[in-house]
Amino acid sequence: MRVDSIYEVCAPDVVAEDFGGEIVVLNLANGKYFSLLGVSADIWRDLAQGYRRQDIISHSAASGPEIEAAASGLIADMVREGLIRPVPDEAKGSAPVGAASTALSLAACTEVPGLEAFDDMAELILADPIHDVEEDMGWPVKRDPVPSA
Amino acid sequence: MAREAGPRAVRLRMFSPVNVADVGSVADYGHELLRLARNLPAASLHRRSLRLHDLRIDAWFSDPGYADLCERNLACASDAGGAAQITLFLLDAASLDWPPPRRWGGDMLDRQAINVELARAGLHGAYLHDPRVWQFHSRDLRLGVQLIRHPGATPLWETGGPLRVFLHWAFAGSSARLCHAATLGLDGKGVLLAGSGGSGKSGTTLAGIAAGLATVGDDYSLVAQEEAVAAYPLYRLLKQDPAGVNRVWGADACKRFGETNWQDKFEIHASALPRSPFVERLEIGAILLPRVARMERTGLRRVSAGAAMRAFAPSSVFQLPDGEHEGVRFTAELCRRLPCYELLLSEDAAEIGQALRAFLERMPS
Repeated sequence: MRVDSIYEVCAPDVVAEDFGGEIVVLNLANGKYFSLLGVSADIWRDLAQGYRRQDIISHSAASGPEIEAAASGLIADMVREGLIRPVPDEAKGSAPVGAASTALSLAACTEVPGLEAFDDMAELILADPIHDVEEDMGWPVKRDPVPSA
Repeated sequence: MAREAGPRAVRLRMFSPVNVADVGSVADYGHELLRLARNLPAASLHRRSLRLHDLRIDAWFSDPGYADLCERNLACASDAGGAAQITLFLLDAASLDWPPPRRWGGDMLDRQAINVELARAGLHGAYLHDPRVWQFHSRDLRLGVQLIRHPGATPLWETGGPLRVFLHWAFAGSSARLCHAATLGLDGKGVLLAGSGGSGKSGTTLAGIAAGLATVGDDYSLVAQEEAVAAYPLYRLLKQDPAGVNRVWGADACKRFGETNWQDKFEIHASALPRSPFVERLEIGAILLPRVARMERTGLRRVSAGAAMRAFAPSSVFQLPDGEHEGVRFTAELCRRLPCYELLLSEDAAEIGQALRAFLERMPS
């Protein structure tokens, strides 16, 4: 994972709704959905706006190495869950305008809430095309190669 | 509607008996089914004019039994006149002497990818493997077609929620959407009960009905967001398992409701109840998220819009094909507009019903 990486939300499969203190993210491709609270929601907002990973992580330096590691781990989890992806160098646009949401919150935080994942709807999406078709979910769909917890 | 050929003439230039194996051929198949349906002679079909809320449907069935079922179980208004806004063909291959619906013969595909490709072709579509049912809808033509193998070969859940996918597609372009939510109300005011299957929506609805409350549905409701949030009925049915019926009305009540369905639930038509709980509209003032908490007394706890969104959106969005982005936005807006509560249920159906009645009495207009 490059320090100067810029990410984008994995549209159209991923859709997020911002409720202020919480961002709810749905991955329409696999039926999993996620909750991001507090400073973790700030990290999502900044990534979605085009702030570099390094810009965000640097804000956590004042809070100590554990916070820095947690912020870095959260971004890695978002990538692993297919919620964000690195933007190729040739597609990078201009830098975002305005202060990053994490500029204050990460510098002052004592905890970075993890990416809370919910997979109770995933069975609907990952149905076996012949035998396990659930209500109204008949399209043949692609199974994840490695089912996640 | 053009009437240019009979069923046998149609068959001669109908699709070849190969499988549908790629996205492009799905769209072609959909357009072909829509074209063939429109050209069927009216005399070979059974017509029903249906109106749900502000949607007028001209529905043509190859099976009169299916036509009767839809007319009986849909929450149709008595005034079904006027110009149709959507025409549906609900067809079975056996009655029309058509080749059976094609099988899916390709690799597994991404649902999102196939929806995007169908949208490029001006279509919505759904395919159900085991019953081998194809459903297509053209928003531009305001036309839908469903092809099944023979009379009665609809999906198992069709009796409890007929034409649901078509209603989802037809309403999606308006300010109203189908939501996976139950409702309870009093004097025109109501609440949405949201949550995934098994969260207690139906049981809570039944407990409320037993306490004299009204409803517009215990599973799916039509929800409109305009100046106010309002919910409208789609079906005249309640679904409940025997244990739930027993808890609310006692064991003898089960004998009144016939056989259970594929989910081992009774499909209880409004006409089977001594008092129909169905009303035509409820103005929604709150979202409740039932939870089987085995409390001594039923309680309410305010929760954030985000928490309500997590309980509400996934089951509404993932159980209906395509339009997911709009569904997410619609549900998020609902959760932002309305106060949201977790409904911590006791085990006493009568107490639950009274707690809900008290909440509705206090709820501001």
